[in-house]
Amino acid sequence: MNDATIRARDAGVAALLERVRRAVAAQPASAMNAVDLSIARRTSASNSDLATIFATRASSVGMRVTRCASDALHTTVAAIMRAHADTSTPNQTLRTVVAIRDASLAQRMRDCLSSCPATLARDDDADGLFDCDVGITDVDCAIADSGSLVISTIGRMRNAWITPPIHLAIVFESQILADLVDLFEIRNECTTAASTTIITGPSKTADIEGVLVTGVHGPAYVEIVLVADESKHVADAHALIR
Amino acid sequence: MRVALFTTCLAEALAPRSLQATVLVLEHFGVTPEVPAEQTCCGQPLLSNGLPEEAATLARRMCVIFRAFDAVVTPSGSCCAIVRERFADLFVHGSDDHRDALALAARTFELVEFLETQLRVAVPTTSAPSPECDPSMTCHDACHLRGIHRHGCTAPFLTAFGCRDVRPLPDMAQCCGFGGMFSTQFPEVSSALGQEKLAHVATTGASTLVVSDTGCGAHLAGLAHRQRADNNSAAAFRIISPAEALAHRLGLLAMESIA
Amino acid sequence: MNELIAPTLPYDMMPRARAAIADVHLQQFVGRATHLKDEQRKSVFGADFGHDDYELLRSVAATTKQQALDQLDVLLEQFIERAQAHGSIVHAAVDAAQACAIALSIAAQHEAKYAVKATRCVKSKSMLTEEIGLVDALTRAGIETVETDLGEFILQIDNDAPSHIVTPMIHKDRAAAARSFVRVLGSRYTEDPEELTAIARAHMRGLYRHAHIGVSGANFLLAEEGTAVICTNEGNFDLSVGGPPVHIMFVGIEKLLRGARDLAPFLKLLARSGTGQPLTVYTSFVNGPRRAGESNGPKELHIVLVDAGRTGILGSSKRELLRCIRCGACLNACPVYRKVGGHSYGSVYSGPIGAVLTPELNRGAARAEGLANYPDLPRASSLCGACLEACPVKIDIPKFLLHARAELRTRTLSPASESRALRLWRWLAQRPMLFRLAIRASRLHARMLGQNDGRHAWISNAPGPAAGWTQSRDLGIASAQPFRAWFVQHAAERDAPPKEAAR
Repeated sequence: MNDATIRARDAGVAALLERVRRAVAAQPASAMNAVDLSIARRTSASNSDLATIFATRASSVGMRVTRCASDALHTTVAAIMRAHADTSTPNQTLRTVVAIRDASLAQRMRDCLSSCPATLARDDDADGLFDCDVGITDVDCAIADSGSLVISTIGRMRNAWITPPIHLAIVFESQILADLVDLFEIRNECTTAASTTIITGPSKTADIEGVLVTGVHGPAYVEIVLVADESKHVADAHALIR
Repeated sequence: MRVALFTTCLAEALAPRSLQATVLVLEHFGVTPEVPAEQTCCGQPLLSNGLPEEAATLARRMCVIFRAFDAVVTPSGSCCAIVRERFADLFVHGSDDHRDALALAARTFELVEFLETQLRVAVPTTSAPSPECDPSMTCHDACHLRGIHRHGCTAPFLTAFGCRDVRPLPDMAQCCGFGGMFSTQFPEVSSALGQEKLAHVATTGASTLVVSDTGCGAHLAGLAHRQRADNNSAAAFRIISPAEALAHRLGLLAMESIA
Repeated sequence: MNELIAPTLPYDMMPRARAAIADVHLQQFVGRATHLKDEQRKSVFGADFGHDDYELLRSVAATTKQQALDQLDVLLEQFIERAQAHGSIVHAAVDAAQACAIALSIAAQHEAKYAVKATRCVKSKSMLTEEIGLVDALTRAGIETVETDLGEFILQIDNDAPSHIVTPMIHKDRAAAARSFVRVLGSRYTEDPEELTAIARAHMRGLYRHAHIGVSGANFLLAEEGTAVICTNEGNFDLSVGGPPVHIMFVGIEKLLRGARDLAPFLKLLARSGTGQPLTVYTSFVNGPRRAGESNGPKELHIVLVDAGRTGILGSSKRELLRCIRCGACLNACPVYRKVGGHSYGSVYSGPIGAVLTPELNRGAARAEGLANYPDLPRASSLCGACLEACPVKIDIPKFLLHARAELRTRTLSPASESRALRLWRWLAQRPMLFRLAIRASRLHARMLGQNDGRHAWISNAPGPAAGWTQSRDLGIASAQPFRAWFVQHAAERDAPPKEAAR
């Protein structure tokens, strides 16, 4: 990009700012009172069973939630993988990309896949994502009130959760925030990572005559493995979201 | 308490029985309404059709005419809402006119609202004097009642008032298509909406449609009359105002048979 | 641009409105879909917040956005600085032509940077890009641009245009989609929405992999963080931004919010108001291009801030209109929209918000064109107020319709005969005696003309201003005694001392 282009661009931006300044000054500011944004909160952080709320709400928007104890994570993931291999692909082997920020969890999942009908795809091949059947991720955090997953590009290959037809997300109970309002009150990566996506359901459309169809561009299946926290992961998860 | 009846020009021209009923019902509950002779039109047609300054001259008249009254009651939901919602904005904020308009807005009520929230009338304990006084009915509320938070209040009130067969009107929330001059500027759209409303009324099987605005009632009655002229088998029902429904229920006014 | 959303001006609404009312299919699709969405919106807010909290939440959102507009200059400057810090390249466009030119100049530099000429573009749904005619501009420059939102894609291959902000193909049925898929994609004929979606998915995956440029809009810009927030249900934004090396985001300047701390109410309101969902399926936050070490995401992220009439609205008494978050709730709630459909509004923005926004966005440099080009829009409303009730940011659309009608009147853009009749009405209304005489005279006249059924005199072809009335309905004049005459008699009886007492 040459200097002239940059100068023209900056002049355009400056001119816009000037027009906006004049327009703002042309009208008196509205006499509206200060607002209390907490009215938007629906689920309170003091709620003792956020995990159940999260599981219920995530299910109601069309994601599948399987709860398990920490030591049952392997068997739970393997069972989900086998179920999909049995039904969804003809060759019975799921090409799987692992996009997990937590290095030890990532290793555990790669180990787990060796006992599944799966082949491991590279996690740095953007084009290869389109050939994957499953993307396995962890999450930055989850939101109980809306049943949402929050996933940033920090430590995870972008779109690994949206390109393959199946997204398997591992959520630890300690990662669950009460409400969307909380997400923006804590330090989080929505506004710092190159990209963060809040996911609330499988990819959906109702464009054709209002008929709900899942799996338009993103996954048709979002499998959530909700892990009851013990020991190590509590600390890890808190380190991630705080 | 001095109460004035705000007759509205449209009701005087098209629905005199609705005004009679209003007077009779108010008197039944111990209020003796006066009818200030100089009242004409509140200015809604002017305001709604791009002549706010002209509307302001009529709004100012209204403020003067009703100044001496403690409450101003009207059977017409739309005109009531205009006084309540839009009059004050016709004047410079902080001016005397603005203050008067706000004061009038605070004292103006739609009949059902007045009975329910101001008089807090007791539900009649006796049943209707005759079965004909308590017909099967369904209610369509004037859209402008939304602005004064009274949309959807007529049917529950009639039920609470001892009308035994008030049926829910499917899609009551949708406008009947009247909209003042809109009905003559966009007659196709207006009547398509009106016909949809009439079709919903027909599905209730009610013999009586209660409409809380004179204009909406005239629009629907006119459509229904045309429909029956075109097709004899179209459902027949009478269209009345809430005031008439109440007056019938109390045995103050004889109900007309269905044409 | 498509004639449907960019018609010859001045635009006459009636032909399309009449055609829509006569179109049985359109009546069915649009009527059913809008009713359903409107009911979902009401029930979801009722269940999730309850009436009072919902009202409070709307007030909070209205105030928050209004306050952002009141300091838009500060927020915009802040956003630009933070977005640049993230590595985004920020542009500004005063109008549609400039916005398109910026896209073309970015595309022109593609070959020098990536050793391949930019010829393929994937586009995520954005009303603003419809407004500026971007797809046409790119296509003319030899860049094949594909809409990736399913509804928009079907409209594009069918040479149709969106007729709803959120559900763009609300006016179309599955058979139309099926036929275009056969014609354009060579797929086998199927009307099954699932199969059609699968065909589109497979087709689009190839496009995402090989596109040179991605294009999108944004729902919100966060000033304090320099972040763009994009809401979709299909996931097409994430794929459009994730694959191609260059992404261009077109955003209207009114999308600014103070920061993430203000965002939650809007996300909660947007999805519930539009489709009844708690949140859209994907709420994506974008902070510049891919970072060092990342293997995908755009290498360049361009943000084009578009004015296109917005500063004009910002500096006028209609600033409030810029609060709109394009949820489509007012369209779903509007009785007129339900009957005439989106294309009758002759603009990208239809329904109640379109009726007030379109003339304002198209005012031109002299701020005069708008209403002269769209004189019907503010009149095509029964002023029922359903739009205001549905609006999550409480834009008083009926009030602005009234303002626009007043402007039509002062600029003599509405029929002079109407103005004369209304002024005569005012003159009469200030003279009570004459006024009542006139009413009585017209009642008598009508009763002479009409057919009397004992209770009413019915007129079925009235002359003059009432002709519009009797085109589709009769006019019934009650035969009952005039109220005033009745009342005088009634009051005399009421106030007279009882006969016994007098005796």
